Amino acid sequence: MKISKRWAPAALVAAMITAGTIALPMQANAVDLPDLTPKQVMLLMDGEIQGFSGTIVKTSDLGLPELQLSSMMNEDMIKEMEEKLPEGFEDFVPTLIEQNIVTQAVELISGTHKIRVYASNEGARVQILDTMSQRDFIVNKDEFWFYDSRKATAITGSIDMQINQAEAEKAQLDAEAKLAEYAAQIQLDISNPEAVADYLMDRIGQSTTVSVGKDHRIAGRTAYQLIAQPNASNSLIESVVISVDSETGMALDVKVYSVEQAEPAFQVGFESISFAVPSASTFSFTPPTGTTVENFEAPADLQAELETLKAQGSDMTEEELLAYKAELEAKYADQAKPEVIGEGWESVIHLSAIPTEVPMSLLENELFADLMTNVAGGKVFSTPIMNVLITDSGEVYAGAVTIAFLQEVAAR
Amino acid sequence: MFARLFSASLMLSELRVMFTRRRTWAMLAAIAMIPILLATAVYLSADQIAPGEGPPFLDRVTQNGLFTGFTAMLLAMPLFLPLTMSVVSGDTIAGEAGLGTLRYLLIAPVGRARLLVVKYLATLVFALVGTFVLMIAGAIIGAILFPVGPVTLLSGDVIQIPEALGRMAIVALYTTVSMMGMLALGLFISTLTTIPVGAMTGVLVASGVSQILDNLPQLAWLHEWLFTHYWLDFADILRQPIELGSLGANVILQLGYVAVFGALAYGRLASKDILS
Repeated sequence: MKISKRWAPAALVAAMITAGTIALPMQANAVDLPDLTPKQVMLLMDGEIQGFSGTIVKTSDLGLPELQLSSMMNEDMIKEMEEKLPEGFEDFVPTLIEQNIVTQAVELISGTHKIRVYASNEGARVQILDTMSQRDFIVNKDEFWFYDSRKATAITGSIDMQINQAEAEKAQLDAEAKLAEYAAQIQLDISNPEAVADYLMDRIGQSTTVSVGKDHRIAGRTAYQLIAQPNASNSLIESVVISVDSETGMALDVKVYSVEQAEPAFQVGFESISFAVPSASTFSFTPPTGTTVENFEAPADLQAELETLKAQGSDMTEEELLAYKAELEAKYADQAKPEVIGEGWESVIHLSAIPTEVPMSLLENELFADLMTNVAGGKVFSTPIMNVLITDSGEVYAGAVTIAFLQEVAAR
Repeated sequence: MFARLFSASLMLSELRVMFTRRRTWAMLAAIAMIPILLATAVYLSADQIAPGEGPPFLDRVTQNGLFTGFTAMLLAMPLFLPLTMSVVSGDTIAGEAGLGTLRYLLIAPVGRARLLVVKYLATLVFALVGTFVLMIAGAIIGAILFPVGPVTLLSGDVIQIPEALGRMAIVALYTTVSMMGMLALGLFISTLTTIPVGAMTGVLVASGVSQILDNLPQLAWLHEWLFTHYWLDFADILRQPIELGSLGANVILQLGYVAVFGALAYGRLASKDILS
């Protein structure tokens, strides 16, 4: 059958769209920057930036159920979940969703988020762009704000510059002194960035192979690609790939690849960026009318303890202070302290017992049972870049290493 | 070239036909009823709506009437607005064919490409009028029933009323842009049949399917190609600083749909024998 030429425009449009979708990503890779060694790229990253604003997209592929709890759930769904949970756990859901910072953190780690960032010497503002809502975190010289538009709530606290400055200065001097002492020990000239880079490369080189990948275009900028590959056979991390802006040396994109999958397990990077300094008004915030404002306070226990300290402060002797310290230590002694086994990419965190706040029965709950797999000697919570082993005796081992290696460490 | 594709007199007569139809006015009235019903229901219910309860923005309506338009747009976006658009776009060619008037239209010295362009632009005018009717009706009923004042954006920043009205206009324009791809799809489906209802249903089903696919995480790679993908992102207009990234992506996507289905509609209409 003869195809009428009237269909020509349709064929042309289809061809143009196909060509466009293929050509655009190819163009992104058609960048040729002067060749640099990994060391030179690291030196480039030392550059100073006065301020910037940009949009960051974060995606992760950890094989976890998407936990977009705080942004997606409404009251009805929470009620429904309450009903479905076993007896005694009804309270667990709302607190988990409403208050728990951990859930908020998990929600931020898993899934995809679009985040706008503004930063300068005046302060910083981070906006998490949720569907139909937004969370803002604002820090300026005097105060910080957290604003959640969905719940119309704000949390604020003041930043006492005087105390902070004095403390920061002291900490900096301390750190500098320690660094100078250490540098003298290893005969390193720290005033020479090149020497420092050499030293760092040397240290990293023992555990990691660092190379420079393909020059490419990202967020409208030309960038070098720094690739770090662990020299550790038990590591889950295949490589960490960092895109470094060729002009400012700012890291524009970080990808973490797992040995278990071809797609990055975690990626965070700029979609667009501008190095114009954002106006100072971006960093000031006044809660709109109708907002529930909460003043941020340190947890009650600590607050009470500090209060006692302050009250006694003037006439407290050294002896009393030591006694108080011992008392505090005794109070927290029953908490298991984490210890690190091994070093570098293969380091494993070991907890001799599950923290007492977590009831053991929780681990038998269906929700959690779904996330865990049974292995010889215990249960494993597994993601492409991290494994957690809970042994039958209640010990916890966690690290960016294979399950087999965790079992091996546990058996030692 | 442009003169061959566009004719002002044909456009005027097309718009005259569209806006003298009782159906058009009934649909516009129904669109206006969405914010009116919403505001009245919120006004009459004694319960205070807690933030985060019900659809987004609903709690804001009682504090500030100007939010009525945004909330109504949110409710109308998944089904009602596409429904009216499918009626108008499905009717374009199939309606004329069904009435037996298409051949008379083409006997007059009117090129088939020109007829398609004019028909399409007329549906776009309807989309523009429809979205503005919704926003304006929302603002008016909101102002009557609730206090009106500076508007709180999603970032917690507050803008004054004139700027808020500007943002409302941008949201209406954004929504019109969102409809462009669907209207082009409707135009194409309308060239395939002589039964307008069939074409209307086809477009509406397509928008439903597209929205369902957009909600399946397994098809994440497909999402940015779906014409419904950016429909609800008009919320980006309510951020400070205003976020235009999704608007830009939406414009490119919608223009792609217009190019593809416009060209397909031309291929179909120009190559077929017009018997009705």
